Amino acid sequence: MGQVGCQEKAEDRTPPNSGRTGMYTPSPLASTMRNMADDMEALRTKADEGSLTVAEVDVLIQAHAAMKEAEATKPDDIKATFSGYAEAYLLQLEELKSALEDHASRQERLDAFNAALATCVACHQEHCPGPIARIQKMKVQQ
Amino acid sequence: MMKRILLPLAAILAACSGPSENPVVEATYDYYGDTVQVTDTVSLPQILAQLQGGNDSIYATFAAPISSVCQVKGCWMQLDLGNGQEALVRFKDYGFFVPMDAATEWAFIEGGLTVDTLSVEWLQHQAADAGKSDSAIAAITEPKISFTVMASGVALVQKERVVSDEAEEHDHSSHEH
Repeated sequence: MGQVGCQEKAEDRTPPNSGRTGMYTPSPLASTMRNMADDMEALRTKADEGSLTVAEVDVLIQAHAAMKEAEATKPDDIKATFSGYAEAYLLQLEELKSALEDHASRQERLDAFNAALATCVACHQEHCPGPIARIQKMKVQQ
Repeated sequence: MMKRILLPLAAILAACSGPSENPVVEATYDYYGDTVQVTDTVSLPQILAQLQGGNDSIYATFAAPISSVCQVKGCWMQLDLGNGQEALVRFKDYGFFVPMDAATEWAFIEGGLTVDTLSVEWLQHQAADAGKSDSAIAAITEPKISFTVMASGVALVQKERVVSDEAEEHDHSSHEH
């Protein structure tokens, strides 16, 4: 899973800019979250197939923990609830890791995967609803 | 259900016929998201008529002037559809943004148009992104029915090069030789 935390991915997604001055430059938090979205989309297939490994989730947890400290586009708009959502997301990934370690049922593993995404949706509903549709598509239907 | 309409209309000039009388103009484009085929647009009145005639949604490429853009990231824009109507454009999978200084420019957009109810939460978020005051944001208490677009691609004119009569004459003379 060499893609996790790869900084180049955010830059690859930057739209073309022919000298315009009004293009958004992603903040560290925005870049981190774009990478997180890419990672979760990549892992979605593995979660659905049942081929997700403990090591892959471990790498994910390490990489995605960066969001707790990364600077937002508008730091003043970050609400007090943000850190709680971030911790809840990482805890859900720990739950997913435990489910894999315990050879839990497919249902339990997918519940854990989808629960992690649910924390993302809840946070974005409070902070920035734009990516919610994309996140919802990452959930594995059971 | 999404309906794809493929109408071979060369509607750029029709869609862009604004108050100014342009001379011969060549344009190149900046593309955001998928590359939009700017020569294969459907006229906006035709699309709106079909939506108002009962179609749930229409997938098309069309052109319209931008009335405002999200001032935080460029992650949404409003289009002026004329007759006091507007459309909210968002970008597929949050995968691309547009320049925040693109208001008043013409946009060529490929995507799905529909009529949707915008929630109070979204409208308040949009107002904040547009730089509205706290009191203006708090005054938003009702959802709003609006045309909405989920765009897969947007093209904006990159630059315009006016082809003068003098240049055309020069080209003709060179052909004769």
